[in-house]
Amino acid sequence: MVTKERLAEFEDKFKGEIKEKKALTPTQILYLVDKKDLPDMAHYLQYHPEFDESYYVMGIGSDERQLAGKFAYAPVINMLDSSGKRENFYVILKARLDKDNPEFPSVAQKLPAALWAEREVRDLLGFKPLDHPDLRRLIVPEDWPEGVYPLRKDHEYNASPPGELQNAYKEVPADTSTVPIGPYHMALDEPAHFRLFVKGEEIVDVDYRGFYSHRGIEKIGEGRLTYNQIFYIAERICGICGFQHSCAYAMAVENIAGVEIPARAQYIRTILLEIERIHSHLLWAGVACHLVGFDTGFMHAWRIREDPVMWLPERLTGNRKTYGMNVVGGVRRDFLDYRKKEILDKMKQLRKDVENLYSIVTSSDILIKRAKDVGVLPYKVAKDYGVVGPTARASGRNIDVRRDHKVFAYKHIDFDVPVYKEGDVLARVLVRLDEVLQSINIIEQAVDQMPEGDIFTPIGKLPAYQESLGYTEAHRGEVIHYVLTGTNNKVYRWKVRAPTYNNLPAVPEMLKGYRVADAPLIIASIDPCYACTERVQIVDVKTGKVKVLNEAEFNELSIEASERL
Amino acid sequence: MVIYLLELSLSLFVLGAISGLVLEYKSVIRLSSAFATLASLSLIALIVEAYGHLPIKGEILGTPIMIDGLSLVFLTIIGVVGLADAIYTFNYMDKYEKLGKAWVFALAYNAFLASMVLIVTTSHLVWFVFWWEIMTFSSFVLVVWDEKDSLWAGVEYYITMHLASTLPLLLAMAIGYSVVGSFDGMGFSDVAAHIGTLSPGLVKLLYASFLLAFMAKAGVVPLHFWLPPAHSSAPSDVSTLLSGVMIKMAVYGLVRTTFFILKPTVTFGYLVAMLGVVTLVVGTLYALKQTNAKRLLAYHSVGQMGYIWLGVGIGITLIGNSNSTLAFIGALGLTAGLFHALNHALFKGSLFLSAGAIEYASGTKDLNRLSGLYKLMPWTGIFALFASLGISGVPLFNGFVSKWMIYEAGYYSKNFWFVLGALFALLISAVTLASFVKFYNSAFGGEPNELTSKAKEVPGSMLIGQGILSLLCLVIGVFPAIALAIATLPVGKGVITTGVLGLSFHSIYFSPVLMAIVFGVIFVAFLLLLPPKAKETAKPWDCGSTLFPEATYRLRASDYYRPYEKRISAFYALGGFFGDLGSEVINRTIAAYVWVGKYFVRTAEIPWVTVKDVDDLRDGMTLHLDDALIMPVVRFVKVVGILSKAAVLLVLIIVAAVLAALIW
Amino acid sequence: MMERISIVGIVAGVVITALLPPFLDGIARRVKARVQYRVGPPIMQTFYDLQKLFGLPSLRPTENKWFRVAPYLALASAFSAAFLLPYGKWVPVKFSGDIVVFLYVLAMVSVAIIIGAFSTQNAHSNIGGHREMMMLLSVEPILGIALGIFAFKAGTLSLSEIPLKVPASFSTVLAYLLLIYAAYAESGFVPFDVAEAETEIAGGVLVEYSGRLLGVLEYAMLAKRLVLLWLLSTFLTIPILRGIQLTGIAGGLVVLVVQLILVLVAYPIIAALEATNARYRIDQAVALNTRIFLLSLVVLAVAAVGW
Repeated sequence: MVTKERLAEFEDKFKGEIKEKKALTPTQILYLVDKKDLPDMAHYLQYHPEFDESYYVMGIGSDERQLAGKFAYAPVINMLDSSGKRENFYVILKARLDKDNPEFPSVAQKLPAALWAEREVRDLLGFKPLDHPDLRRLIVPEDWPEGVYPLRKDHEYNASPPGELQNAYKEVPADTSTVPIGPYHMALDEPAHFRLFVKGEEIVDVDYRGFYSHRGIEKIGEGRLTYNQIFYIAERICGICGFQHSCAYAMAVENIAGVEIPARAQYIRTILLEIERIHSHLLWAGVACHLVGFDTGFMHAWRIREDPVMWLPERLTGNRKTYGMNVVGGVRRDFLDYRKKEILDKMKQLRKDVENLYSIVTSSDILIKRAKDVGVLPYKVAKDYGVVGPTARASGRNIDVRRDHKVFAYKHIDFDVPVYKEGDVLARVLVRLDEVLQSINIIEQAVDQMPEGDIFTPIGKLPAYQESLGYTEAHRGEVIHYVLTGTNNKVYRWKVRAPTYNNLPAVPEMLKGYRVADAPLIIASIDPCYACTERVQIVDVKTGKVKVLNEAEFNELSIEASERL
Repeated sequence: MVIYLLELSLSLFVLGAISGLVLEYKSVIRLSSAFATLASLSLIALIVEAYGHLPIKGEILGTPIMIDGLSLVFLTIIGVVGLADAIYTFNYMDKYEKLGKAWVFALAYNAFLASMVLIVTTSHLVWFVFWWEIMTFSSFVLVVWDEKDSLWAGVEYYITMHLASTLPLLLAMAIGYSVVGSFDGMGFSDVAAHIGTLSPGLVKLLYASFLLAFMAKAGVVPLHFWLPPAHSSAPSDVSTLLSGVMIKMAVYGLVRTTFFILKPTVTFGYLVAMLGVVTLVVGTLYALKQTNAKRLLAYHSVGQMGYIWLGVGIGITLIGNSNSTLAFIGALGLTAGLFHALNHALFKGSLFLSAGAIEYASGTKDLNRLSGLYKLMPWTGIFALFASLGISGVPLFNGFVSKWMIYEAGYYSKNFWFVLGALFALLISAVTLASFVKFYNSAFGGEPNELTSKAKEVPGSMLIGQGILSLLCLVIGVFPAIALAIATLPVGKGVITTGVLGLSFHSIYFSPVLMAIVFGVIFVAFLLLLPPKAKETAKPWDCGSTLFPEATYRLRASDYYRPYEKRISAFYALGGFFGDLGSEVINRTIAAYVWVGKYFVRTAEIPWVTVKDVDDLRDGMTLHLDDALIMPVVRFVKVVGILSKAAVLLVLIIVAAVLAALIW
Repeated sequence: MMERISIVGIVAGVVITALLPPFLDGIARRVKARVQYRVGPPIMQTFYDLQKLFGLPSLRPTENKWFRVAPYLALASAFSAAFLLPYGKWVPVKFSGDIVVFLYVLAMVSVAIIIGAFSTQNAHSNIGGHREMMMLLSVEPILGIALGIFAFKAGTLSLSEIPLKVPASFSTVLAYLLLIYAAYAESGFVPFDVAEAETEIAGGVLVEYSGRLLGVLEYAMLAKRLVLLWLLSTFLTIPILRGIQLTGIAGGLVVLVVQLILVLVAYPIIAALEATNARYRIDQAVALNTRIFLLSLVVLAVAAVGW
């Protein structure tokens, strides 16, 4: 097989540790490995000399005790060769961990990109990453009791045990004051807490706490819903990139089912994905303007976002956002032919509007001054942290899942991936502005090329205990879903990794050395989406003070909530 | 009557000085403070008595006395600040009880005040220099009295004074002797009468030596380096006298010698004004960076001295002008300078007392560590706020009126350099405000932290001391006529029309009373119309975070204005360069002096210590600078220790003075 | 004393300073809305906002009394400054005719706000306070230069005499521009709204204020903007009308109307400027002000030479 040559060297090097090798799809290779050399392997793959843009994607922790009698921990690496000479692919390094003592050598000691993933598996599954540099709790709230691991299969989805408040914050460095941004702050669209340690207005160090909007999505998905019901949740992971999640999930399940969806469905997905990208980038541009006090830019960006950007999907799908178009195997609605003209007309209007907007935005040189040379993320740090999406592309990383992994109809479409080298906020702005124009191009091409045919391939029963990855390039970067099927068309493990999950850990690095006034803009510059990032936990009240519900009431509430779903 | 009151005051000071005989620490302090208080009160009585009967001539202890308008301005400063300070000292000095040596303090404290009274009342150059020297020496003893970090600061102060203040004065005295021909005949008026016979070169030398002497004493840039350490390391009641009163003596000396004895000349005036501008800029911008409460205040003393010199400089330059408008502006400048000296005594005195109270209550003067004192010390807070508003030149407080007069004098002179001076004065006034926003808010704003939560309000006597000066800031701010009645004396009436309503000159007028009424009426009207409804308390908004480190949720004193300081960092770099240059020059001078001194002193005490610059003098054992005055100190240090020795020397000097007076 | 007080002036001053600022703000909001393709709130919206705030109780984040007193001090300062300006030919209370005094009384608004901002244990409000102070620091010298030019060219610093005596020349035009710039920056319009900077420091100096106290504080800030604008409009009106013989009550009314018209014209322009600019970072604002100060030193020298 092709994969053999691609990784021959790797397999030779770690011959002893690799127990099994399996191609989930032609571009997804799973190695069952010994946990002992996980850090070395992950490090080797991330810094592979030929696959120069490779990066650590995520770490999947799962409770496979019912399946294999053991826990499993699986770092995923995206192997990318920017020269385009080799085919790109994903590598999953799956290690089984002892069921009583799930320790493993921490990958994070070598790859900062794995810092969060390993804190997450510690919090949710009780794994023990050895030699991890920073094992404060990340996901579970401060009042969550130690020793209760919500993602283990023996934990009820609605159990919320009481606990004591624990301090999970960094010590305040000497001679600094503390400035909180969040959980409630004008600069944040969703709750997150950045604790800036400042000297005057200069940021010396940053602490981050988040995961305030946990909704237990993965837990609810696992074992309770069938694979087609999960779409309802998958699309609601985030209000902005819902379709991306939905597509990524669909792709993972379709891979497992082994079907290729019809070409027309691929084009429809592509068009909607791009509309969603335009929507998100305009929304973001508006927010960025607002953050630096330029409300006119904000208003205009949002006006365009309203019409034509949200008007169009309403016509096409019946919804302005959260399109509800996906099913496993294709899409639910076809685009009628007369809509084509509508799309093209709207694209024309949009192009004009966007160009107008750009001239408004760039007419204020203060805006440029505020964004230039601020929040610089150097290429090396971007790679170390596995940063993705426009954030990575603004730091000179030439990565884009659409192009690199040839998802959906993108393989038939000609488009550029804008890359800037400066790594500052301005570069991130420019990447997004360029992408909007690219997206318009893509949509126009897709509408032109869209073939006739079915929009749906039926899928019967899903094979049990099969796993696969699905991915799309969302507006913020690569969205990746991992699905391990269970019996009866249910999902045994569903792992969602939103782009912000990789980008957020790099934010403290961007903030250090800049000023409090820059902080909102820098934080916003990665276009953080906390809802996406924080999908995982079980439903819980706000941490700390507001523990007003007793457990029974609480459980009732969560049951109601799930029933509504 | 006036002379009698002066004698009464001086005798009370002498009684205070010898109250050390009681021996028990607290009693000594109480007794000495009581005498100083009474002496200051009799000084105030003297001012009231003398007002309207000027000038008054007489003789005390052989010193020929002449009290004129200029003397009265400075007597007011000594009387009022002395009064507040003496009352404050009642309790403040308890802090130093473990140290003992109250008799040294009592002696030096009273001698210090008395010497300044005599400086501003004597009309004889020799006596002026003599009391000047007593003042310097007694203040030196007071600075080093608590023996902590102040020792080196005191020594530096003393050496600088000798080199840059005493020597030039001796030189001036020598020139005076050369024209008059006898020491007896060196009354101010005699010297003034003989100036005409001097060669122009010598006149210039006379100007130069006076300028140098008073620059050094006033802490005018570039001779300001001794001031911040000395003023900030002394006990706070002493700092108050140093900053509030002593450096004003330099202004007195400057005006007395170069305005009344010598003729006011244009070039000299420009020099004084420009030195003032440089000083106010340098002093205040350096003050902006300080985080030690007293050091911050001390740098402001430098800065505010710049304002005074600018006013006086404009006065000296323009007062002789043939254009009557400009001559008037000159008179305005001089009056403004003197008025500002008076105001500075009030607010800076009050601020040093408040800084002392902060240190007394919390144990630190590091603004970074202070927080939330307003809750615990509301009176000190109010007094510090009023004085801060005073020095920042906020309307309705005294500093505004005098600063405003200085701006007006500068702008109306239509002279580019003075307009520039006024412009910088205006700018620096904002910097002063910024600096005091920091001073006041980092100590009194926010909530108490671990360190300050134990603090409690200081004893009543300390509050009275602060209160007198601080409330005077407000009173004079609203009724400037009170202070202007005295401040206009030296240049004569008619320059500025003052009344209950305020002051006016030419078409310019300002009525603080009317403003206070307008402001008060509107303020009260809105308070009645929309009374604050704030019953419910809440924690400060921390964005809803959990487990938040609240003590660090505020701006630290060292963090204020960093972007601004960064913007003007070039200035600080330049200042640093000139500072290094200045201390290098002083070091070289001292080295040269030591080198010369070696020929007059037989042996060095410690042969292996080679004295090359000031730092080598730090050991305190090889001081050979001035055989007459410093060598005895050095020997005494070897035997007893620097303080008790200094005190004994002081006793000797006073006894000698008394004897001399009796013999005459 | 009575000759310094004008009842007509007091009435005019109180009415204009009390009612005009919320109205102007309403206009500005409408203008901004139009620039942004929005309908915008009713013209009277700021009145409604203030009315609502005045009716709400405030939270008390500190026991420090200055926190509660500061908004009223700010408001009283703004009104006191307003009483020094002429309305038509009537000056409400001439406690000083001097522009320096006027500017200092107006600066007391900032001083009061800063004292209030620092009385709480809140880094956002402290940072706001210190930014406000730095704005004052960097704007003050620019004002100083403008005053210097007036002193040279008009020979007076009297509020009423400067516009009468100032000759049209290169440096006086620049002095006017400097004055306008300083007034704009001092008013905290975008891009100089660094002290409030809602999206950065959550409202800065305002963050701890709520209910009635917030209303009073916002009212004071609006009033301060109007007072500065009124000063500028006076400085423009009088030279404009210098050629026309204006006497008596009628003449005074003409001046008043022109002053009002200028203010009403200027405010929408300011609103449009605000709408098309982003906020400076404090170091950028300070840098800009310092640069302007250094450049205008040259203008001062030019004025001294006599141009």
